[in-house]
This record gives sequence, structure tokens and C-alpha cells, in this order.
Amino acid sequence: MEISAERRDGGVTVVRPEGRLDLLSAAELKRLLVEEVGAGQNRLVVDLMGVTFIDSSGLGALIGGLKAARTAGGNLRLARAGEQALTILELTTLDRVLRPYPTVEAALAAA
Amino acid sequence: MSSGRDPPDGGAGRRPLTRVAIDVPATAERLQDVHDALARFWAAVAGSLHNAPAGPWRAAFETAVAEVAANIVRHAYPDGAAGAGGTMRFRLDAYPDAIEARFADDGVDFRPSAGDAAGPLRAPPPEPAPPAAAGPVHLGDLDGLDGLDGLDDLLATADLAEGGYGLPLARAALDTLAYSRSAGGENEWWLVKRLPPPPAE
Repeated sequence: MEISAERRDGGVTVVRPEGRLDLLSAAELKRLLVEEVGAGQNRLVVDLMGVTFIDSSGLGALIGGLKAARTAGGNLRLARAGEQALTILELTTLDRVLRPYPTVEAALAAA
Repeated sequence: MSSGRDPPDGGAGRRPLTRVAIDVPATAERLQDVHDALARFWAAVAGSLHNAPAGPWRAAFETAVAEVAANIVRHAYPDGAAGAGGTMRFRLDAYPDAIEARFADDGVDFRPSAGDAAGPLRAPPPEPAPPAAAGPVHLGDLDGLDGLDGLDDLLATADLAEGGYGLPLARAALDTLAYSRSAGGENEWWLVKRLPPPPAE
């Protein structure tokens, strides 16, 4: 999986995974999220625009990133989740902690 | 239950309108094959069903299929590193009132671990299953998403689990999720999601 990370001012990093976020790629995403927090970037936005499918392993990576960010006093927000991502968030009720926002800027304002 | 009905796939009465069946190596890398089969299936179903699924319905079904496939990859062949593992036999069937999926494998018996959010295997629910439901073997159902109640954004996230969502999620996305193991050592997963009624003409 391709994952890019764009660091911005104020401890913000916008992370953009591309492709399927599942069993195969979840560990890589979690590692990157935790590394960002470790580098002082604790306001994370994961832009899901390029994610075609997300499974429970992918959700687990996002929760791992959320926990790392909150432990460091920050947060993790989701932006531009597609229909399948919104569906899996609702089915697990994890949308209550992993809030989806329609744009990166809206997620940033909340992170 | 004891009507002597034939197995769903061999019965006389209920034939799928559309079927896609593939054998897939049970590895994380080859989960793509399952997604590819789903795409082919939806393309075929579009021509055979008036109420072809779309939107969140389809997303929920695909999510359930992916979770069961990932569960097999993870647990059925614990010693099977990529390439050395076993095979999943995967089948998708469209009926006028439901979409069904079946996975079969020859791996180890599925046993939810203690504390697994999936909970213990349960006896079949009293709800009537579709006509083809009377299988030749016992089908146990999995528990729901009880463990996730009470989550809130304000809640401390320290105790939030990073795993264990897979099978409860599949259960929540479907009308039926059942698992059985035959005397011959075959694991079978059966997934059913009823279609919404066709739109009024």
C-alpha cells in the first residue's frame, strides 16, 4: 500500500493511504501513525479519499493511531470516507470515536 | 429441520440466478481475488435481478465477505505462511430474495478465543431461515456487537480494542452468519443477506 504523510504546522499530519486498507496493510499504517505521534505530530487527519476498501484490521490501525494521538494530548480524525468506510464505521459504531468529516479542512478544524 | 431436504447447493428447488465460484489461496495477498470475484458477481447480478443491490446494502455485504475471508486467512491455516497455506473455496449466489456467500476450507476448527468479541458459538436462532437453509450439518450463529455498546467520543480511548471486530461486524452486516465443521474436517461459513423488496412498478 502507498501511504503519504504531509506534515503541517501545529503538530498536524495529513496521512493519505491508497488502495485497500486490510490485513495486509494495516500494520504499515499503524506504524506510520504512531511514528508521527512520536515525532510530535499528534493531530492526525487520515484522508480516506484514496482508500477503496477498509476492513476490521484497517479499523484496528486507525484505533491504534487514535489511541497514540490522544495519549499524547492530540486526536485523530477521518476525512473523505467513502461509502464502504462509512458503512463499516456505522456497523461497528466506531464512528462515535473515529469521526468522519467530509473534507480534510473540516477534519483539521476538529482535530 | 428433519425434512430430509437436500443441501442448498444440491437441492432441486432452489437454484441461484447467478453464481460465481472460485478457489483462492488462503493468504492475505490473495484477498484481492475475493474482491475481484465480488466485482464480477455484481456485474452479473445486475442483469439477473430487478432489485440488484447497491449502496450501503452492497457495502455491508462486501464488508462481511471480506471479514470472513480474513478470518479464514488468519485462523484456519495458522502454519500456512504465504504460499504454503491452504485453499478457500468461495462461492457467491444470487437468489430473488437474498444474496448468499459460502466459504469452505480444510483448515483447523474455528474456535473463538476467550474474550473474543465474537463470543461463543450459539445454537441456530429461532428466526426462520430462507427455504434453502436446512443444511446437512449443525450451523451455529455468532453473537452480536454487544461489546461495543456505550462507546462515546468523550470516553477515554485507552481501553478501546484494536482487534476482534471482524466476526461481530460480519454478523451485524448480515441476516445470517453461520459456521459449521463437517465430520470430514471441512469448515464452512454461510453468509446470507436478504434483499430489499423490489421497487414498486
